[in-house]
Amino acid sequence: MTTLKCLNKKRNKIRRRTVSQRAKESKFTVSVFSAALICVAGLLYVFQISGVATKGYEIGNYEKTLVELQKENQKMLIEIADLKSMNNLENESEKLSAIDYKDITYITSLSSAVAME
Amino acid sequence: MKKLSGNFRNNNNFIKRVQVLSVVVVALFLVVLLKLFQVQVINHNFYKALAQDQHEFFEKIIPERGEIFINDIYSDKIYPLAVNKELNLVYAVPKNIIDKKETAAKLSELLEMEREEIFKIINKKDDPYEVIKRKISDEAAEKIKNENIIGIKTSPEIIRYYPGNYLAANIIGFLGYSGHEKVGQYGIEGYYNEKLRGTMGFLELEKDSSGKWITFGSKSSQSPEDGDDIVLTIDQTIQYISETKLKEAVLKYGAESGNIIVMDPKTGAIIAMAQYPSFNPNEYFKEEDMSVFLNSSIHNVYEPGSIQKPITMAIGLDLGKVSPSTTYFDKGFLKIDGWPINNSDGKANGKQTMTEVLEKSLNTGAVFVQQQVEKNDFYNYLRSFKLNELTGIEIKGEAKGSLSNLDNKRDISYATASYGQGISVTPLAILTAISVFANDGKLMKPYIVSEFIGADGYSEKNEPKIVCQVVSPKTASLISAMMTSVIRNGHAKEAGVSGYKLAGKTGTAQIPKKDGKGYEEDKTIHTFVGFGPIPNPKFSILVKLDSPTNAPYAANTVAPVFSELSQELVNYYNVPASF
Repeated sequence: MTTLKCLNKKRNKIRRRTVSQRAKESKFTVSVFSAALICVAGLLYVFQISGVATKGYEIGNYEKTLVELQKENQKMLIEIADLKSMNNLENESEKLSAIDYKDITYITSLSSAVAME
Repeated sequence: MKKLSGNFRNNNNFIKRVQVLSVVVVALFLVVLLKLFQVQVINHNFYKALAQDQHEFFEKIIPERGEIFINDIYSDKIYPLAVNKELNLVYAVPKNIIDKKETAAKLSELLEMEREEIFKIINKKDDPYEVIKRKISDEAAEKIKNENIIGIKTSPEIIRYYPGNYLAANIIGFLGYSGHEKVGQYGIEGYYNEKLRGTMGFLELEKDSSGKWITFGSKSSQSPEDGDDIVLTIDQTIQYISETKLKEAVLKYGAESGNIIVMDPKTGAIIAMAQYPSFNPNEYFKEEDMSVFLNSSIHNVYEPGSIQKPITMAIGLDLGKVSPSTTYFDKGFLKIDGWPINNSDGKANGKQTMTEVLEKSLNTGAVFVQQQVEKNDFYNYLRSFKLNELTGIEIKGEAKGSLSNLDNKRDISYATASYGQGISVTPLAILTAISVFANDGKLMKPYIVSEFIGADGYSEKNEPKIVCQVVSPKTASLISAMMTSVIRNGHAKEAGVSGYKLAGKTGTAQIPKKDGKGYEEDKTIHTFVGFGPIPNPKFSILVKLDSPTNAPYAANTVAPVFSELSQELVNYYNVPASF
């Protein structure tokens, strides 16, 4: 009986020690786990921010490219306008030996059918 | 006791010194306080402004100026007449240039400028900025950058560029300067300067001591609003043809200047408005005579002469006082209020119909019609044709004609007005009046802007406006037929185009003397007004030459120009011949 009680006491002590140890261990585990979670969350946040920053940088680059292309486009439109100016067209037509039209004959189309060949 | 009194004296001296020191300290403190009061209260605004200048940043953001376009009916696209072009300017920081002679020599080759000219610009001590040359191409600017010349830099600049050069210069005007500010001058650039300029934006923020923007500091901004783009009713091809034909005519007939206006009589839209001499808006600063910038089609008033006769005839017809077949006896001359009135050919033609009055351009016939009409009615009709009012065309510098000579109610004033002398009109006003007969008697408001396009793409179109029904459609039709007869049977045969019915009238008007009464001896203004093709007119045209020297009458000068231009127009509009 005494032995049993002692044993039980010992067991209880062991259990208590184990439980308290377990409690300590579980607290420790929770702490470690929380810390790990926070680290992971922090890393994820950093990755996200850096991703956003990278995207922002890319967007900035695209915007610069857009502005450059718009400028190029405007330059080309002006070049086209210069080439399409009436003075230029007249000079080009002279170079191509184009001749003035004299009489124009107007043809009235009788039907809408058009021969394929 | 001695020891005590010694101590007492020492204490007394000490206390006195302390007191003196206290007074000095308090006095100094008061001085500091006063200074603080002066700085923080009295000069508060001054130091606040100084501090703001140091840590506040304010910059205006300049909007992009709207561009101007004209039409090309066949490509359905618009052609730019005035655009914003990015070029470069080369500037020097003279205080940083070490060897100015060598720098001038290097730049002289790159910029194609005289070495001495460059040296003069950069040879300034302690000067932080001098512009050497503007409107440099990107390639030239790149070459200069690559040379890495100390104290020489390039920067982009936006300039106003007119790709058509001389084309429609008197319609567009140009972008010039008023002080340091860019301002549209003359033409469309001047008239719509506010619309084209847009609204300035701004950026206001706080900066740190190194000049960088403080991220979390206060900031405010307003985006600039770019100016509206403007599309004109002008057709590029017809404008070019008109300018070419006008220049040829002015040179061929030895005229001082000339105008051609082409209008759509049904809407009042201006299709072409040419003037010679003209100018290149890209080089407006090279012109010595500033009168060339004015649009003489709307600015110069003149006595129209015989082109007034169809209007006089229309008044008589509309009031039922005459008909095309009404006759009168032409003796070749009249005397009114003691003043002689002769026909231009000096002939007495005998019995003449009203149609023959226009065909032969008989002054006596015009007076006959005018005398059938009450003076008040005659005057009111002239006013309803808006000959003495502004047309409201959207070009800067319009003047208005005058009927003030008729205020005196004298017979001679009304008689001369019947054939276009003693009254004054602008070329655009008289063409708008004549176009009434091509439009069933309706007077249209002439306009030159077809559309405004906002920076956000919003478009605002201009619609044709009817000013009033001046004469009945029947009267308009009769006058149209009589004017067609002028070209077919009258002395304006040179204005005809084979296969097409065109209506028109010549006018050879005397020019009043600038100093003194009467008219110039050997100078006249030749005008031709007309429209076609009948019966469905697509265009009305005015051709005017000032003081041509190689031919005496409009029938020999401006009538052929009208014919050539009409031929081009019927081909351009694909109008087949009617006979």
